[in-house]
Amino acid sequence: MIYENLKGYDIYALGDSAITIEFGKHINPETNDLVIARFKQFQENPIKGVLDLIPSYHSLTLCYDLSFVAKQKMGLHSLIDQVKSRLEEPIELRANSSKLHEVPVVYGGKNGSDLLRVSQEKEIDLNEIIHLHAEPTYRVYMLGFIPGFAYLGELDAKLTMPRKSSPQPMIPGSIGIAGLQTGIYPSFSPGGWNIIGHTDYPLLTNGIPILQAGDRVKFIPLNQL
Amino acid sequence: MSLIIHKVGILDTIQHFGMRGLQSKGIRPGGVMDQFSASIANALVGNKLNEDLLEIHFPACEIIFKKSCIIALVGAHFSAKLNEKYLPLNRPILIPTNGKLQFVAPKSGRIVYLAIQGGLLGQGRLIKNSEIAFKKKPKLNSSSLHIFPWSADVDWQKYSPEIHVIQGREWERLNEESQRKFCCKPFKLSHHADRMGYRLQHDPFHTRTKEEIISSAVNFGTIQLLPNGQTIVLMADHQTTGGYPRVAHVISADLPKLAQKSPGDEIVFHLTDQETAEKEWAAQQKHIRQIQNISQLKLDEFFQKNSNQL
Repeated sequence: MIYENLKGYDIYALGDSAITIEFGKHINPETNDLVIARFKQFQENPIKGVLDLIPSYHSLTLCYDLSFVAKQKMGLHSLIDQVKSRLEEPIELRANSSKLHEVPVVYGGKNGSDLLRVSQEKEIDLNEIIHLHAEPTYRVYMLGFIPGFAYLGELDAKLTMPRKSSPQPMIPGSIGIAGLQTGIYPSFSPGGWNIIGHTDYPLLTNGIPILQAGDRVKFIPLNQL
Repeated sequence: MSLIIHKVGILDTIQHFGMRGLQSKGIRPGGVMDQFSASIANALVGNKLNEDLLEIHFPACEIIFKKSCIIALVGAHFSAKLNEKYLPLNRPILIPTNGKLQFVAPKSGRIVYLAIQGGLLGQGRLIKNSEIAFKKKPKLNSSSLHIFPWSADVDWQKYSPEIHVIQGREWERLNEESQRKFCCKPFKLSHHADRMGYRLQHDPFHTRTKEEIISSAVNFGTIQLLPNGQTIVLMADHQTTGGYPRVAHVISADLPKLAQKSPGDEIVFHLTDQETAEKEWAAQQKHIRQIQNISQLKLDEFFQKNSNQL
């Protein structure tokens, strides 16, 4: 298996048509800043043969055209060398200039049906849950699962809940919490997160997600309970 | 200039060859399951290799061609019939106007591709009684069936159980015994197999650690180890990211072979390396291009000779 441990990051093969650069071992804003900055670097100045970029919490994956790479004298090593020299280039961390989305939320009720259960299990007042959830400005760590599903972090540790044991049907705009994460379901889908509220904020236009990895999200409560 | 979906099958779609550049937004590339068969089908009718085409599972759809056109069927053998006459795989076929195509019995393989000269308009699942337009006006108009006298060599698509894999990032999590079993023991493909993933049947694998991993990207062919020790191979409609250990990845050149496996079929994984994966892929692509070149010559020749008679 192709694997290189370099100063500040690891590179490993994700099958024969993608490589992943891992910038850290944990979920934290500093590592994700680096992921997003490098993602933008590769997006703005693409490497020939790279077809797709997948940023995640702590890594950036480059999917490449295997036909193109197989034609290079050194095969994948040619691509990895290019990637490594790109990673030598200094990078500006632009987290604070990223887009802020203010997302209005109706907490509880029919479209936030797990709020009461969260309150009982955690022994925290409903309004305190709203406060704890809406207080931070979250970072979009990554998109995944379904088109436009944004993984937002970090949730206040007081609100940590396990996923439900079996997935439930979700409606678009459902706001869920699981572990140290919160997220918004952009479309109808099954999901296992605990739903505490709902938003009408547009999440997809013509199927293309509005939220981007690296954006920030602030929830604006529309109600008190 | 269209065809009608007279009856729908269980899982038939108009497929493309993968949408690229949107995975950062969580949008999967999707596309054909068996790129080899799909490319050959396009080559046989003189299309560009990645033209949109029909991907058909069994029980399959029934199609009425409202206009004569040239098609090719490549992949699974479902005993295709045109107005009661059996059709061969791997050859160009001139379908007469109002011809009715049925697939009557699955003999081998899992997915058959139907390419139409010039391509098709539309996307997604096939809907009953829907009309699918041809992209281009057919070159010929025929009232009788004509099977062209040449065929593509698809020996590549041998139905052997060997599937080559490259170790994944979390390979070392498997304990020694599980690593040994993974590489040489035959597994069966389970009934939980669709365009998103193929689950395998085996004794549970054991790991050295239960430590959770941080979600990150997965790929077509990624073999994930589930918490119960079972494995799933991610297929064309996989999600962009996942949080299960990635113990191995099927090489791109063997994905077509795997895609054609049916529930109950045997699979044996063999470890290989990147260099071999690149060589195998390049050789497969070369084979496809050769078939494309020969097909184009043969079709041109045929049209020159027969344009008056048909």
